Parts: sequence; structure tokens; C-alpha cells
Amino acid sequence: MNILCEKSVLAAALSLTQRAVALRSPLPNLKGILLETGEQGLILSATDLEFGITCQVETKVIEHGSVVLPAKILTEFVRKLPEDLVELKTNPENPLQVHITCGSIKFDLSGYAPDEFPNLPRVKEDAISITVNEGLLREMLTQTEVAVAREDTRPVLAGLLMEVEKTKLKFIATDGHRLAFRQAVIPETQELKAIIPGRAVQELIKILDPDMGEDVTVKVDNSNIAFDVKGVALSSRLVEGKYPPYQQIIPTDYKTAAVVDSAELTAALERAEILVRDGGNNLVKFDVGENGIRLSAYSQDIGSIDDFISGGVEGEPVEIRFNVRLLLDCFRNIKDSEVNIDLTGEFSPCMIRPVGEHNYLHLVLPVRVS
Amino acid sequence: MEEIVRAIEDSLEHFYIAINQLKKECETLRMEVQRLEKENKWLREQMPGKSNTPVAYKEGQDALARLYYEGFHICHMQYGNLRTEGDCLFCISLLKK
Ligand SMILES: [Zn+2]
Repeated sequence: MNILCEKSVLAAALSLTQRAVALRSPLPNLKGILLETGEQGLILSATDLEFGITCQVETKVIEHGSVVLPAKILTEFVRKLPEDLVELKTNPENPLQVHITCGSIKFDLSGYAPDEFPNLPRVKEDAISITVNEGLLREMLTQTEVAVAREDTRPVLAGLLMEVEKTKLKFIATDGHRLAFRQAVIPETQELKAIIPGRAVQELIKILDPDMGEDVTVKVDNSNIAFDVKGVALSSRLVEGKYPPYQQIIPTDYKTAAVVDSAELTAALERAEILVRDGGNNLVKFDVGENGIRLSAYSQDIGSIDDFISGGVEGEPVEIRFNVRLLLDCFRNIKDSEVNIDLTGEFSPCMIRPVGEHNYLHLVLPVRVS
Repeated sequence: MEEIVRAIEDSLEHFYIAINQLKKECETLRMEVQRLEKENKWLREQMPGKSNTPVAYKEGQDALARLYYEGFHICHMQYGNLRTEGDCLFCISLLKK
């Protein structure tokens, strides 16, 4: 193998691909990045067997070939090179040794045999394929990923449920205390249900650009999922198991409904969080009355905070407490100016939705004080 | 060679950690089974007669509610597990029925 590539292009491709490397694996091959040449240039791949990233970059190929190089050292080294052309050339006598040259800098790096590199998770030929706008997909994932369970005692909840029903693409996550639901309209396609591991979702969010109008191709079969965007392919095994029926936990009625400015409420919650996160209780109290929500928080050693967010309220007045973090996870991802907050006492989840919007909803269980 | 030895040592370490975790899990599961058996017996005693009559259904619901307020999950996914972090959305939706 012999290729010539701009340092910045190579560094970017390496730092992206190395996210899938299994740095703690006992297998040296898994700690590496597979570099191979293709029609367009260089193809970099990494996998921890559950999750994989492939990245294509345009480079000048002088001689075709492939090699596996240790990810950490290669990525760090290339990052520290000056902005110049980098040459990667395998030693003709020993194809597992690579000479890296950049200006007067020469670096000889030993690698591993490419034929021992494991296969990345791959979808079958007959996988269902859908196309979604990059910015929209990122927004949908960010709004729901926050509710994915962090511990893995219930593996299905540590994943994000993706559903396609006729023309609706839906993402759902719940950790048992809150639930996030987001849907969007897509061209009609085959129905599907898949649980994507939380880690793959987090990595995908990092790769997707919020302001880009590129198309992302999503392919799903029974056990794998693959996302393709701008020469980067991210693939993952799906979480096995059945996602619990989430529709039954979405309330159908409420006793109190408030409409408030979402930026104003978010700011008030962020101020309250400063106080209660150090006090350790994370609790905020809502007194929902005729003209809005009185928000208060108290921390024994630090002090207390009192705030009022005016808004329209229908139904019974209610006093209710929440974990401020769970509310912020929801409100920080709402771009709309006004939100509906529906409440039915401290035994029912509070339902938060942008006003007039039926595509996003978030449930948060109140905290009962006994 | 050194690399290989280190790799083997690493994988042995992972292996031991995994075995220890499995042992712990086994112990938790064993205790869980005992507890569930006890609870099952108790529940059976609480629900006399045919369970498909409306009265028995109500009693069944009451028993579930009691179990929930005693601190256990009554939802499908985690039935009988101790609720360690407050209320559960799935349990609450069952209580509402
Ligand atoms: Zn439960």
C-alpha cells in the first residue's frame, strides 16, 4: 500500500473512525484501525464487534493494499503532524510495517495482518431502507436519547426504540421514570421495529451535523442497523428482546393544563438547578395556579429560590415536585416557543409537549414526598 | 511474545471479573426466587375464590397496589423487583387501569 493524503483530512478521518475502536480489548487487532485502498481512495474501519465505523476519504493511491495499525498511536501521531501531505507506505519486505512520512518527519509503525481483522456489523442485502434528512434525524435522536436508561439491568431500555409505521418514523426511549417520544413523516415504507443500543445513538449524534441538509440512509434488518452519511458508515448490532408497550403509559386525560413560554421556564429551571444540585436533592416544586407556575427550590445548607412564570392555566390548582434534571433534559431540547404542561397529581406522569405540536412529547414522573 | 503474554493476562483478568459478576448475579437470582416464592404464596392466600369474577379482580388489583406501595415493581418487565429509585411509569399505568 502507498497513499498520499492531506494531514487534516487523514487526522479527521482517524479521529472519527477511532470512536469504534475497542481500546480495552485483549485482542490487539480490535485496538487497531483497518486501512485499505478503494476506487475513491482510502477506507478506514474500526469495530468493537458490537458497533463499527467506516470512513472513506479521497486520497491519491499510488499502490493498492491494506494494513491494520494501532489506533491510539496512529491517531495521536497524525494529529500532531504539521499541515502537509502525509505519505503512508508499507515496507515491501515486511507488509505489516508502515513508513509514515511528512516533510522531514519519518515514522515507522508496526501493524497487524488485515485478513485477521473482524467483520463489522453488517445489514443483509434485503434490509429495509429509509432516507431521512441529517438535521432532522439529529434533532429526533437528541430529543429522545436523553431518556435512554443508563444502567443495563433492563437491556432493552438501554436502547432507543425505532419504529416505522406507514409514513411515520418514530423514536421512543424510557428509563422507567420518564419517556421521550418523537415522530416525523417519511415516504411510506415497510413497517419495522428495532432497538438501537444507546452507545450507537450517542456516537451517531456526534457524527451528524445539525445544520446539514444531507440525506442519511438508514438500513435495518433483523439483527443489525446501518447509517450512511457523507462517506461515513456507522453500523451496530441491535438490542435483542421486546420493547415494553409504551403507548399504555401515555396519559389520555389530565386535571391541570398549563401553557408557558419554554425559554422562560428553562431559564428558571437552570437557576434552580444551581441551588439543588449542590444541595443534593435535585427537587423543584411547581405551584400551578390561575396565572402561571410558581417555581421554588430549597437546599438546607445553601438557601432557597422562588420564581414565577406567567402563563395560561386550566383546571385544578396543583402543587407538585420534580427532579429538575429530568425536566431540563426535556426542556433543553425544545426549540418551540411555547409548551403545554399537563398534570394529574403526583401519581401521574406530567406530559410536556410543544404547543400545537403532535410530533414530540415527554413524560416525567413527579417525585412523591411521603 | 511479551505482547501475547500480556494479552493472555488481560483476557484472564476479564474472565475472572466476568466469573465473579456471574457468581454475584446467581446469588441475587437465588434470593430473588426465594422471595418471589414467598410472595406468590402470600398473594395466593390473599386472593381466595375464582379470579375471573369482578370482585376477585378488584381484590387482585388491591393486592397489586399494596405490593407496589410496599416498594415492589408490579410491571411486566420487573415484576417483584425492589423499586430502588422511586416510582415506575409502567407500574403506575397498571394501577390506573
Ligand atoms: Zn415497574
